[in-house]
Amino acid sequence: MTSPVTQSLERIPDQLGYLVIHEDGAVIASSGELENDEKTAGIIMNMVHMASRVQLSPDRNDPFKRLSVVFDTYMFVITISNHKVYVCKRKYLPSEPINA
Amino acid sequence: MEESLDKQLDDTMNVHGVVGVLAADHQGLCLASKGNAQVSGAGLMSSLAEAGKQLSSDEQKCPVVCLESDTCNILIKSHDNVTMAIYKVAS
Amino acid sequence: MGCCFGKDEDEYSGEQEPDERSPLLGNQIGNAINRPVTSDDFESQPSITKGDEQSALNRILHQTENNVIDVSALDSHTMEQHEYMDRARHYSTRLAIVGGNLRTMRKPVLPIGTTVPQAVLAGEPISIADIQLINSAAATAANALSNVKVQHKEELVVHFVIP
Repeated sequence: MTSPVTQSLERIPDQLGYLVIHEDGAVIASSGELENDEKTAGIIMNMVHMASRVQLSPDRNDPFKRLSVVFDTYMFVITISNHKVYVCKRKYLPSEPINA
Repeated sequence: MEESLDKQLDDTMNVHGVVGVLAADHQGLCLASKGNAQVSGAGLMSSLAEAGKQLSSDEQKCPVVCLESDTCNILIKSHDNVTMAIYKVAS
Repeated sequence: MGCCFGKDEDEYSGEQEPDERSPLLGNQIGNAINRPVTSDDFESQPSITKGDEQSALNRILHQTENNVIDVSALDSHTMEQHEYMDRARHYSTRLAIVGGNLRTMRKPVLPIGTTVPQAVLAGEPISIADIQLINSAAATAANALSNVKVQHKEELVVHFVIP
């Protein structure tokens, strides 16, 4: 299934795969390393529901815009739009040099 | 004793941009919190950290979970049995 | 404070039928907190030395009585078999009544979110400085906590020897 949005997901730099999940949990589109990955979709929906209950600032009307799960070399970036959850697995390539 | 945890949280609070810190155990009990961090959020923080682990094939690996909004970021990570959350103003 | 997802406050602290939420030691502790002794208690009264001393002593006695939890006298509410059955029936009828609503409640509504998901996903990743900050904070916190031990200072239950 291709749509303008999934096409632009393909063009995200260093992407390894993506998922588009309906808010009821059904996987609408998937590709790359996340192709048909229902397990990851389930874990991420669970995290999204938890994240939407977190109060980010004392001002209550400040919903989260992006949820990232960062591992050593790759990361999942997640966002919500129009009753769908968009997930992209990307290589983790921070722009700044490491000076530990 | 807990003074060293307390001191460490104070040190983290002094980092530029940090507006709150919270430490919870792996079951979501809040151990300490400072600044903007909500004690009632402790359970969600450790649940998010635990769920993040499941996204790796190696569940020993603890990722950093980051929640971003227009004004604030929360960085969450668990280490051994402790989950730390740092509230930071969005840069 | 609630447990894991911690959104529920303790709203069941009033006097009620004992159920699974009623505090076991609630009342005794409540009494103790309600009666703080301040220096005003002693200064404000005129000097009728004998009675004053007696009332002060009584107050101390009363205070101690409030602070001590008499474990042996606690009314431990043990449940009989039929009570279990009654409660199970009561809960299942209540569940049947609200059951329909529970199903709809379980599906939380997602926030509207962004209009440009691809732009948000393609944005700059979290900076390495932030990753290092949280990594070191979590590691030192875990280290600090591994040194925390409960110090056993005194007996929790003290036996009073009545002469």
